[in-house]
Order: sequence, then structure tokens, then C-alpha cells
Amino acid sequence: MKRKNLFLLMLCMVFGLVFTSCDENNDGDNGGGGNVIENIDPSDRVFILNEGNYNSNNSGIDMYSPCGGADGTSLFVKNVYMNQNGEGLGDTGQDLISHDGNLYASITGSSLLVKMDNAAKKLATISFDASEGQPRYLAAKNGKIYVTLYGGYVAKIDAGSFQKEAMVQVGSNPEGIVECNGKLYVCNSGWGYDNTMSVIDIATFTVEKTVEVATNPNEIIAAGGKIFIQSYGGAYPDYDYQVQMYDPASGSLERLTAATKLAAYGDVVYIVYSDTDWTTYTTTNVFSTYNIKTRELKTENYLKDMPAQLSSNGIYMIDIDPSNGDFYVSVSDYVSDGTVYRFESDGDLIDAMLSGGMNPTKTVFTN
Amino acid sequence: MKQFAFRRGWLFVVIGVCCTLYTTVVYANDADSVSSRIRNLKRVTVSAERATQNISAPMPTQTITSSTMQNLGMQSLADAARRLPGVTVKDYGGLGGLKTVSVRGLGAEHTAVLYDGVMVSNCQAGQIDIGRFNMDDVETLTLSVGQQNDLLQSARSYASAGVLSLKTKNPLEGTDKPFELKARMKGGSYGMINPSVLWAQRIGATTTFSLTGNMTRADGQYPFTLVNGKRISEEKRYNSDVMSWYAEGNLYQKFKDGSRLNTKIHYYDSERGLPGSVILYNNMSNERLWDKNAFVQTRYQKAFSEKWRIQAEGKYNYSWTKYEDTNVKYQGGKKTDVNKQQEYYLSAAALWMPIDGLSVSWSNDAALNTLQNNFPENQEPYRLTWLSALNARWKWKWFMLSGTLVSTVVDEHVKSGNKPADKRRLSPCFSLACQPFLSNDLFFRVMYKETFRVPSFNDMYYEQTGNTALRPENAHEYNFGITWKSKPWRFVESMMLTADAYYNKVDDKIVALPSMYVWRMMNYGRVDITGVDISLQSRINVADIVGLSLSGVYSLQRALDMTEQSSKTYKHQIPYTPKHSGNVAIQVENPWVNIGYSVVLVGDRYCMRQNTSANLVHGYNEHTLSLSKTFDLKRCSIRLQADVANLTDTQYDVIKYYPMPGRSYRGIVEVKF
Repeated sequence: MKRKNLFLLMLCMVFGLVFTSCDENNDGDNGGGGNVIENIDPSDRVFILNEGNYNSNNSGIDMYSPCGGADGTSLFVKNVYMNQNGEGLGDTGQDLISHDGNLYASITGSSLLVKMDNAAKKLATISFDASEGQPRYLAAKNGKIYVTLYGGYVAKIDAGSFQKEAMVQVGSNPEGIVECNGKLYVCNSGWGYDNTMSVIDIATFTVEKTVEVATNPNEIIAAGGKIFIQSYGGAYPDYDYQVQMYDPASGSLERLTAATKLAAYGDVVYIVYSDTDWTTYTTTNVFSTYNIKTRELKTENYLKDMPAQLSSNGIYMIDIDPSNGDFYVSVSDYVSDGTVYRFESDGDLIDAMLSGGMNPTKTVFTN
Repeated sequence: MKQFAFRRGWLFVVIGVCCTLYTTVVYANDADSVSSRIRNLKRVTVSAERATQNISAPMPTQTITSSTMQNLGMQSLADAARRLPGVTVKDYGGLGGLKTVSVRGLGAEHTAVLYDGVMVSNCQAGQIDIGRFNMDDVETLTLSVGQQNDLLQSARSYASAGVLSLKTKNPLEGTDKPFELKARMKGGSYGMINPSVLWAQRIGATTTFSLTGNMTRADGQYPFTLVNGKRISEEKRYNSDVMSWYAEGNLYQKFKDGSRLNTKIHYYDSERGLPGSVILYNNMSNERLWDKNAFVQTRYQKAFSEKWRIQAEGKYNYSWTKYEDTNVKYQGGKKTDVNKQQEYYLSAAALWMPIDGLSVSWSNDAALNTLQNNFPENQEPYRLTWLSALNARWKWKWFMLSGTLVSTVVDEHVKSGNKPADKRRLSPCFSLACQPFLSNDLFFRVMYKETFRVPSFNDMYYEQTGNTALRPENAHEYNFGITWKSKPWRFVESMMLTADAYYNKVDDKIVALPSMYVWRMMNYGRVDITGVDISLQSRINVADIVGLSLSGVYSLQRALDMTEQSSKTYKHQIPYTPKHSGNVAIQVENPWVNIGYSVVLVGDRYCMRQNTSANLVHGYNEHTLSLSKTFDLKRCSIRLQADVANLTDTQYDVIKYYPMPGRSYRGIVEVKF
């Protein structure tokens, strides 16, 4: 019988101990701290927004410094937003801009606009309610931030006080927005059903006119006084991804070429068209440039020595440093952390950085 | 730190298992102190047998009975299923959250769910939400890896990589009672109320019917702890309410020739909120789901002679779902998806045992599945499936050899748009079980099986992402196992050990792949899964009036993404597949109050294909304690039960950002006449 008691005692111990083996959760930081950033000259800081995955709360910001590392080499710091603020940026980081030395990020899933200083430290946030809709893309001019809202609005926010000042109704599901010569140009996507661009006069903050463009316009940039609109170019399943050029002076609209991403530097628009063949699931990238002055469209690869990953995957981001013309390019597979490549303005590959998150979508230069 | 804590948790499982073994050893030496006269005293009968396991089956088979579910305070069938070796339950949290079962890393689409022998199908989603079934009516839950051991079955039940079988019971079978009336009330945390009634009546010597009604409601507003970087906040889950009810009638008919006809009619109705994943800084959640499902199924079984037996089954199923999301981003501010599915199904099977030891069976199934919805580009697909399964089994002395060949013909039809290719396949399965020492219940088993899963209607036709060019996703399963059952010493009523090692290979996986702006379903990728499942069960008489039942399960699983060598996810563990998992359960039966205690242990997992620290979802231990007592009165019996689930109030996620409830309480009162 003694042994039986011993067994019971053991049993109690075992089950008692299982209770004590609960989890302790002490997640450390997963990247560089604030000091690393603050040691770098503000004008040498490049911020990259990682969109993250839908409904996964994993958007974030990485920082890159072209010559902020030891001996003037480059430096890459992952997840600076998390490290600076001790909290996540939220779900689906859609856009990031810099204005007057501060950073502004629109976080679509979290329905949030975040204002940060030039070291990605959070200063203030604005939430949008169900009727306004979730925030999408950003533009800024003279101390005001403009954001497109999925409820069909553009909201004007004072950059200093970070308060909403006004809202103007545009088309449905507005996406890209850009400022050019006192006007805001807004793509109304209608989630595939709209085909208009709203032109807002900044002074009166009213819609001045609505221009018909290709179906489902998405991304918009301004260069050389012209507006370039990238769109799906048709309703499902007849997508015809394209870029159109709109001339505000004459009101003319012209289809340039096939396009899925745009960027501009000087008088040149850099275009990439990523085309996926679904029977083999292979993607090819076609690069072209459009010279606004000479009106010359050239199919040429402005990125030399492309790594295999870049040439065979859809280009998710192409942004250009306005101070020197360097390209920041990313690809995405939606399952792993992205890679950001930096090419010099002449197309030489200089750097490849492993992102701190998925889907690097926007590069911002604070200089 | 976490990793360590979890390993420590594991250590205790191992100790627990060793402990069981130890006991048996102790009792072996203790035989002297056991006097045979004790046997004559009133002893408690341990009804808490975890399972009536079939250890001689050539395929791993594990059963959980309703008494075990009750005694251990299991909260749902999903809660029961996750305790089976090799099973991963994806649970999106709360009473109304989706719960799917996958076996050995294969994906829920590879597991067939049978309800009283007839397969539950959902051609649209391709997987079954077992949260929809209530455990109250289920007598046994059995998981068979590969296929079930029984040779007289529908062809469908041979065509999957795993079979989860839910069986209800004729309450009057095996009794001489003229009727049974049972009323049960469950109530618990987060506004959960679940009343149910059962009435079973004998009408004549050969006919019995039963009627069941069951209603569940919960507001589901449970608190949870949200960890956001260094910020930890107490939040509440909203839009997690559920209201559902079902009614079921069964008619059990026995004919003079010994044949049986069982017919079931079932109606289910529910409305629930879909809370979605927790989104930082945004509490908006407006998704709702309505479900209506009606089916009637019937099964006829007859033995012509010692050598011939047949079975026929038929089913008609109608299901209707409405999903609604309110958000200004949609045209008109709302998205409403309405889907209607129907199934017509017939099956016939015959079993022939020409000579002693040889059994041959042949099953043929035909099914018609249709889908209609309110999408603008609705293709109104329908699918005709013809399945034929030929089985042969030869049992001779110490070994049993089985082979199955399943032929599948799937004809796809659409009223408009692209028509997918028809599918034709032959899938073999071989198994061998042997018992080298006939005096000893020690068995070895080997199995190889090839299966596939056809693309679901959503995979092929869903708005924009659907791809009609999809091929089936293939799976190959290999298993080697040992089972051993023994009653070595008097104090040990029974002891059973199973250990299986397996290798599964999945290729042509059906996954959603992105391009620059659109996603599409594609056949892409390969996963290699190797694993070990170990289970141990034993029943012990601790004292003359105290019975103890102890069980432990441990699963090791390496499910690696072998798709592309250059990818950042190459050889990474696939999402939501823990390397280590297991559980320990103990039931103590005694004259005062029965005690059930269990702990489920799940190791670290990743929520994405890339195994980075950001994608790590920490492991957890969840403890459940249950106390119950049955009072036998003159005319009726009353059963009282109180459970505490998640005893240690551990905050964990099965799916990242779908937090599970913390400690919750449940009380049950049951009156039976």
C-alpha cells in the first residue's frame, strides 16, 4: 500500500507542476534602438514603409541611411517605429510622406493617420470613423496634409495641430492623390467600378472638376506640370494596366504605355510594367521611360545588373530620391519579408536590404 | 524564455506518461498486497473509458466517447478533436468561430467528416466547420488516419487522407426502456445558454424514434489581453455573438430479416457575428453570417448470409448562407454574399466473404453538388462525382493484408464562363497489420495511401481569385506503427500504447498567389511532413471504490515548405503547425464526485510561411477541470456538472489575432427519465 501512496503523491506532483509551467512572455526588441537613428544626420535618413499583410497588424517602418554606417557605409535599421514607440504601427500601412521635417503615415486597416518626427517617434494620431472610411493615400502642401478616405472624401488636416479641418466629397473609393500647382488630383477607383479623377482647388478646397480617365485609376504622380495616372484600365477580368498623362493646362488625356508602377525624377517618368503569366506563374518586368520635355517614350531598362529576384517578380515599389535620383525598388511575395534594392541614378545596383516586414511599399526621403 | 517554459511543460507530459508506466510496474511488484477478496466488494466501474480503441486496425484509429467528453469537461467537438494524436484544429475563437480539423499537416480539405456514416460535404468551402455540430448528441468521435477499418462503407469515406466520424446513438438501443426523456441545461461565461431536450420512444418491437432540440446563444463578449509591442491592454471581443438552434429526428427500424433502416432529418439555423482578427487601433467589426442547413439521410444495412452483406445510403442536403459586411468602401455601403448549395447523394456497397479470412467489398457513390450565389459573374457551377472503391482484405494467422483502389470521376459543369477540366484518378491504398505473437496484443502496422483533394468551388469560381484551371492537390501518406494492449497486473484494468511514425508528402498545393494587383488560386508548392504520434491510455483501480483513468498524447510534427529552394521560406515549418503538441487527461471516478482534469499543450507555431520572430505565435498550456455527480432517484436520474475551462486564465491564440477566451465557467444540469 505504501507504494500506492507514493504513486498518488507523484501523480499529484506531476499535475501540480504542470500548473506552474505557464508561459512567460518577454519579447525583446527585434532591431536597432532609437540611439542608432538619432546618431544619424536627419538629412541622411531614408524611411521605408512596410505595408504588412492584410489583417495581420504587421505594418512597420525601416530606416536606411546611405552613408550613416561605419566609415561612411550604408546602414539599415529594421522596425524603427516599433523600437521608437514600443508599439506596432498597425494594420496595412498604405502610405508614408514627409512634410516640414515630420513623417505622416496612413494605416488603412487601423483607420489611422500617424504623425511622427524625423526619427519615427509618434507625435499624434487621428482616427477615422465608419462614415468617413479608411484612409488611403497622402499628399501635403503648405502645412496641410491631405488624405483620401474610402468613404469618398479627401480630408484636410492641419499638420501643426494635427486636427481635421475640412472634408470634401470626391468619387467613390479614392486612392492616389497628388498636389500640383495649387490643385489636388485624386484617383476615384470605385473599387474597380469608377473611372474618374477629381481635381480639387486647394484655396477653396472644393472639387473644381471631374475628369474621366481609364477604369479603376490607382496611383498618381506629378512631374513637369503634368499628371500621370496609373490604372487597372478596365473592369475585371479585362485589365489593361496603363499610364495616362493628363495636361492640366489643355485638359488633354493621353495613354502612354502599359504600367503597374510609376516614379519621376526631373523631367523623366520611370515606368515599370509587371506582367504575370498565370499558366506558368512567371512574372516579367518591362521597363520604360517617358521624357516629358522631348515627349519621347523609350523601352529601356534603367536598372542594370538586376538580381534574379527582381527580374522575375512583380515590382512592388519604385521610388526615387529627389536629391540624387537613386532608385529604391522592392519586390513582394506576400509570404516573406521583402527585400529593398537601391540603384544609383545611372542604374548600378549598390545595396540590397532585407526588410523588417512584408511588402515594402513606400520610400520617403527627409532631405 | 517562452521556448523554455514550453519545453518544461513538455517535460511534465513525459513525466506523466512515465508515471503511468511506473504505476503498472509498481503494481506488478505489489501483487501480494492485493487480496482476491477485494474483488467481491462493491467496486466502482470506470465508465470513463477514453475509448474503445481498435488496436488491431492497420490504420491509426482513435476514439473519444461521450462519457470522456463529459467527464473531462470538454467544451465542444473541436475541443475533443484537438486532443487526438496528429490533429490540428484551427479555431478562430469563441463559440461561433470557425473550427476546422486537419490531420498530420495535410490541411482541413483532406479530412472527411462523417455524421452517422454519411459524409458531410461543403463543395464551396472544401472544408467542414465542426463547430456547427453539438457534442451533446454525439456518442463517439473517431479519427481514422487513412481510412476506417470497416469494409462496408461508402466509397467517399475511402477517398480522403483522414476520416473524422461523429456517431450518435439510439438512446433506447440495448435497453428495455419504452421511452427516454432527457432535458439538459448548460449555462456559462460570456452569456452562454444551451438548453436541449431529447425524447426517444419505442413504437412496437422493431421501431424507435427520437427527437432532439438544441439551442445555443452567447453574447461572446469575452475579455482578452492584447500585447502590442510593449503596450499591454485589456480589451473585449465584440461582434462575437452567436444564436443557433437545431432539431433532429431519427427513425430506427429493424426488419424481420435482421436488416436495419435508419433515417435522419436535421435542420440547423444560426446567426452570428464574425469578429474578424483583432485590428490595432480599430474596433470596427460589422461582419455577420447567417446559416440555414437542412438534410435528410437514410441508411439501409442487410446481411443476406454469413458471406454477403450490403449497405445503401442516400442523402439530400440544402444549405444557405448569407454573409454581410457593412463598410463605406463597398458600393451601397454593404457587401452581401448569398450562397445556396445542394447535394443529392446515393451510395451502395456490398461485402463478400467467400472463404474464411478473405473479405472483398465494392462501394459505388454518386453525388451531385450545386452552387448558386448572388455574384454578378456567378457561373452556377455543378459537379457530378462518381466514386468507386474496391477493397480486399486477407487475414491469415498473424497478419492482415488490405488493399483499396478508389476510382474518382469528377465532371465539372458551369452554366456560363470557363468550364474546368473533368478529373479522373485512381488512388491506391495498401496496409498490413501483423501480430507476431498471437498470445500477446502487440501489433505492427504499415500503410501507404494516395489521396487528393479536388479544388473547391471557391477555389475555382470565387470572384476574381477563382481559377478554373486548377488541378487536384495530391497527398501521399506513409505510416508505420506499433500498438500494444495489455492487462499485465491486477490493478491495471487496461493499458494501451500506440506509437506511429509517418511521412506525408503534399504537392500541387492549392494556394492563393499574388501578382502586382490581383490574386489567383494556383497549384503551387510542396510540403513534406514527418512526424510521430504516441498515445498511452490506462485504467487503474487506485482503491476499491476509486477508479482512475489516465491518458497522454504526444505528437511531433515537422511540416516543411519544400516549394522553392531560393525562397525565403524554404524548409520553414508551414503556418499554424506546432512542432510539439500533446495532452494529458486524468479522470477519477469515486462515489462522491467525479473529477476530470486535462491539459492541452501546444508548442510554438508561425502565423506566416516565413519562420521569423515577428511571425512566431507562442505555445500554450490550457487546463480544464470538471466535477460531476449523478444522483439516481426513483424515477429519474439527475446529473450535475461544473467545469472550469482554461483554469490558469492563459491568454493564447490558435490563429494570431483571434484571441481565445480566458478562464471560463460552465454549469450543466441534466434530468433523465
